[in-house]
Amino acid sequence: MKLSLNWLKDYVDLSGIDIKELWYRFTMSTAEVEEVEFVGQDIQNVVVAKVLSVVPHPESKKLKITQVDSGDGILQIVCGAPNVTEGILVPLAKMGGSVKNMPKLGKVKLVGVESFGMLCSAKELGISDDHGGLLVLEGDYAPGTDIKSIIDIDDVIIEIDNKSLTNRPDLWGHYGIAREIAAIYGRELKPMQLDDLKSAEDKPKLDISVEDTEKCFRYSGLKIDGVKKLETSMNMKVRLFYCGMRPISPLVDLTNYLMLEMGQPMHAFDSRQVESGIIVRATKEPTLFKTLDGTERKLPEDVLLICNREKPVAIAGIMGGENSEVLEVTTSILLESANFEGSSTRKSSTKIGLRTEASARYEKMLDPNMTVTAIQRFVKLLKDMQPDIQFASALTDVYCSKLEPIDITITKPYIDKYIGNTLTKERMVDILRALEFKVDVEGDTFNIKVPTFRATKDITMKVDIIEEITRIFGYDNIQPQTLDIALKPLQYNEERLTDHKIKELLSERFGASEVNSYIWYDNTFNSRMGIETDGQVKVLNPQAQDANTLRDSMVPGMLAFAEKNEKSYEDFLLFEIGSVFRAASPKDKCEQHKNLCILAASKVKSEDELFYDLKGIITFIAKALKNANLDFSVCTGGLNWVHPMKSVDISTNGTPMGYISVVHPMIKKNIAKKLNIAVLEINRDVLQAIDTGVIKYKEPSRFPEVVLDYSFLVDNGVTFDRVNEDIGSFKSDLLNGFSFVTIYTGKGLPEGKKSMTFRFVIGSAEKTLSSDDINAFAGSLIDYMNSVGYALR
Amino acid sequence: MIEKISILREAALEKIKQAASSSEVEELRVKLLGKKGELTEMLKDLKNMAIEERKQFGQEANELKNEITELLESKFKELSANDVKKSLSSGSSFDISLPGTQFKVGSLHPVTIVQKEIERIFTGMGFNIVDGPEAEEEFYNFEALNIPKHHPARDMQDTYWLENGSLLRTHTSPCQVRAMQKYGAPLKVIAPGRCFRNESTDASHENTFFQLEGMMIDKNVSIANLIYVMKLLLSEVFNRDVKIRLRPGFFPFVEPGFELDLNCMICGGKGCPTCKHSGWIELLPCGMVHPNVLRYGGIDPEEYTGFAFGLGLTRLAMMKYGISDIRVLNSGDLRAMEQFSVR
Repeated sequence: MKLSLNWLKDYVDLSGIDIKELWYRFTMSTAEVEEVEFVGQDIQNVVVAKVLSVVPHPESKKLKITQVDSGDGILQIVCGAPNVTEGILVPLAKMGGSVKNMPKLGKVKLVGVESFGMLCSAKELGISDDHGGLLVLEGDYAPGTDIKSIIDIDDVIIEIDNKSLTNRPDLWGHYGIAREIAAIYGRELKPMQLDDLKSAEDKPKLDISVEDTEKCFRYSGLKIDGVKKLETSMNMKVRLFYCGMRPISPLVDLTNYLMLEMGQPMHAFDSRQVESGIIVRATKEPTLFKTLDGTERKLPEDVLLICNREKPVAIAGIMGGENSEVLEVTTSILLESANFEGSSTRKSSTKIGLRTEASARYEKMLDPNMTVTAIQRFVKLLKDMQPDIQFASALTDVYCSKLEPIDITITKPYIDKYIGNTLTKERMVDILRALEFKVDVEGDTFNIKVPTFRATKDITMKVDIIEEITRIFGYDNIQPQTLDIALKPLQYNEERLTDHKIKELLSERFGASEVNSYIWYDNTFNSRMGIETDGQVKVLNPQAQDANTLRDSMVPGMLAFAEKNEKSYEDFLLFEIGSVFRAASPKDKCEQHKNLCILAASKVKSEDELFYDLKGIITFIAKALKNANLDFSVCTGGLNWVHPMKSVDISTNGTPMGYISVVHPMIKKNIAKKLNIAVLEINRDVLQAIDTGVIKYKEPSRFPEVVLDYSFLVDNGVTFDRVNEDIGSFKSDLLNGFSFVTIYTGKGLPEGKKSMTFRFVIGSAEKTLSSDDINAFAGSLIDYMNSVGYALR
Repeated sequence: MIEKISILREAALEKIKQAASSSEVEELRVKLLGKKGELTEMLKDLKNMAIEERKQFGQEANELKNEITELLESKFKELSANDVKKSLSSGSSFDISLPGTQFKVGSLHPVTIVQKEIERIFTGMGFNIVDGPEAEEEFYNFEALNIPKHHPARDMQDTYWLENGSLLRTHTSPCQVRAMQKYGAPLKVIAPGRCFRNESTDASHENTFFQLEGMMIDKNVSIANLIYVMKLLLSEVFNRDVKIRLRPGFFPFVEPGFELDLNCMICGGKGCPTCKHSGWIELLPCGMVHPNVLRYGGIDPEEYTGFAFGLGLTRLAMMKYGISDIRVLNSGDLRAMEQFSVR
């Protein structure tokens, strides 16, 4: 919202106040000032001049040669404006002066004729967009008079961030802003000049009926006759223009002026269109309606309308209708000053797709007590323009939904405690009274009446009062205070610790890179790759239709990253810990948990190697974090990117945890032919829940252990698990442990066999093993292995 | 017999003298003194000798054994030192400038790095870390934060709604009420996490980003405490003494609500393009927890007060690393991500 400093000065004396400091303090106490612009400074040395004569330019059809009285001698000026005529008073920019976008004017020759200055349009003075002709000055000004003494060209325009005013309906006009400034600086807020409407009292009341009292709280109206052809005053036009509004017609300008001054939107109907009376009601069915901007609009149900007996004439609080617009020939108007409910106005405005200055204000919940004052102010300003207007009705005020007064009781100790500093009682009361709160002091207790312009939603409770006091006092003036807080042992977030530990291990030990991805599927990517998912959790209003499904697996997103990085990298390991969402159907509430997903991709390693890498990594993580061994079994999941053979389910103590898989060849070929990919996806919560248990310590033997490596011939069809299990069944008192060393499948082996090498560690707690002991062990192991089908290689 | 010894002695001394390498010396040791060595064999004859002869012969043989042992040892020392010298001087191809074995260092996401850092600071000050669901209930995201239906604040945060009536949380603030309900007062928590806003993306807008919510509740927590704690925390976060200011800000879940500005660290407050010439950078919203929010959390606002704040983790990470395009954070582009080597 834009504000004019000149306008504010009507209501608060700003003498002696530094303008920059003023707006800094306003930002610190009230709302964020976005910009402070000093306007008019580029207009210099412009005076009133009287056009004495106008003759055509000999060489140009467009230009004319004029002689003007500059108050300081007669000057020849060449002028191209269509409206230049003898006898008018116009602004003259003298040589050495400047106007908008023309810094130093000098003597110029225009098509061979010398010109000693320039006659100006309003646009050239920076006070309008109108460049249709010279600005003709109405009034009896002496030539040579400084234009700035007639028109308020010099001003300071302040732009306030609208967002910081959302909770302050009272700040949507200059008067409310002036009140804040007065409170901040402890100055007086001057009253507005109003018409008492005395002479309207004996006139008949208007026929106004409000049917929807939930959407319309108050509707005040006044009919005025005998309106002549008016002219908006120059300074009013300039203020409107500086505040971002275009002058339209005197009556509309006046309603706009009033809205910018008080924050109260008003509407003037041509009273011929509302002779039959005013009915305020909501649409019961979709209705077509042409607003005064000439647009035919489809109004849905439940939009509040202003109607005459026959038809709608305005959309309440949003925009008037073309059918009842005031025209140049209008002599009788019905003035509307109403109070509409905020959220229904907002809803209607959203539904219709039309947001206006008026609706933006109503949305904030305006003060219902403003409607009558606004009419009084309007009449005062109208009378300034045309003193002899006549009231054709009495002020008719239908106040159907009364605002409940708000009283708040608060004590000084409570305020001090909440702030953490001590303020004097006087300071507190002064601030509240400056903001027009009524304060009744009884000892340390304040009984406060909230002014209606703050009582519509903004201020309802004690803490709101504290905010008023502290913000005007200045947050910067509050002395920071340390605080005692009882010591309490921390409850560490174990999940978070696990996450961080996993991330550290993966990145630091395995060289993996963490990525972040979106939590919804890219349906386009999935179908391009042939990836099928079963995401049941749907977004109602996605940015794009192909992003409407929340992921139930992180793998598809990772595969997209594999495709993306394939061009630049030939070997990479990516991971993410993120949420996945599952539900039986889109209507059901979803279950959500965090998964860990790792993707291993390589052009140099085989997919088998990648698979074993992932298996090794997760085994390591489980061991490092939880001292746990994981169980791997044949993969049972139905995910279509899982390889039918090269995949494995992971579980721990019977709880399924996830899987590892080489990416199915049908999908892999779509991503990149040469890139081998394997993925791992586990439920982080299951990993987290593993009980670390207590380490069972075993005293190391004092006698040396002996390490024996043996390779056995194993049928190709027999799995490692099987061999491992068979060895596990071999019993010997000497065997302290065994582990897998390597597998060999190359030349020199019998047909259909592979060679597996295991390492056996044997020892005794009582003695050093003799060679006889060792040989006896080896003999029985080899015999046993033969008996279960594995010959020594 | 004695003669035999002296012959052996001479031959042995000569051979030792001639030995050219440490391995030759070792061979000689075995040949002379080993189990089947010449001297050892000779000593085996002792048992066949007469006592007197045996005595003399034994003594001489022993002396010889000692002499040979000593000679072998010193010869060995001399030659092996030579060997080492030789091996060191024989023009090795060892190149110390070749790179060491290459172990790949991975990377953490920049937001993770910043998050860990901030979690560490807050944990050090006794804050607990809590989490909340990303698919959140309307109640926690709005109602419980004093944002009733049709409140304009609901427009401000364009929400992704789910077909099941839930939504994707628009901020981490729902964790406030969840934490209050779970732990009660007094309370000191932070809740970092992912949030979602339904808006189109460009270099400075993302629909998915990270925030960190913080909250502190106790008896007698005041605005003056809030200022103190925020200044302290931010000095830790930025690792220097910071200047801050509070000004009014409107957020339905706090009252009073503040915008906290940080004195621009680039220009020191004089004004520069980064701070849009104001000297201040809008950093975080904060405020005293609204009594209604305390009530929703099951805490009596007459007994307890508290403050809350929200920190944009994504924004902080971007500030820290000079990332100008927010979209890179969710792009999975390794060329960007691998630069953030851990810590």
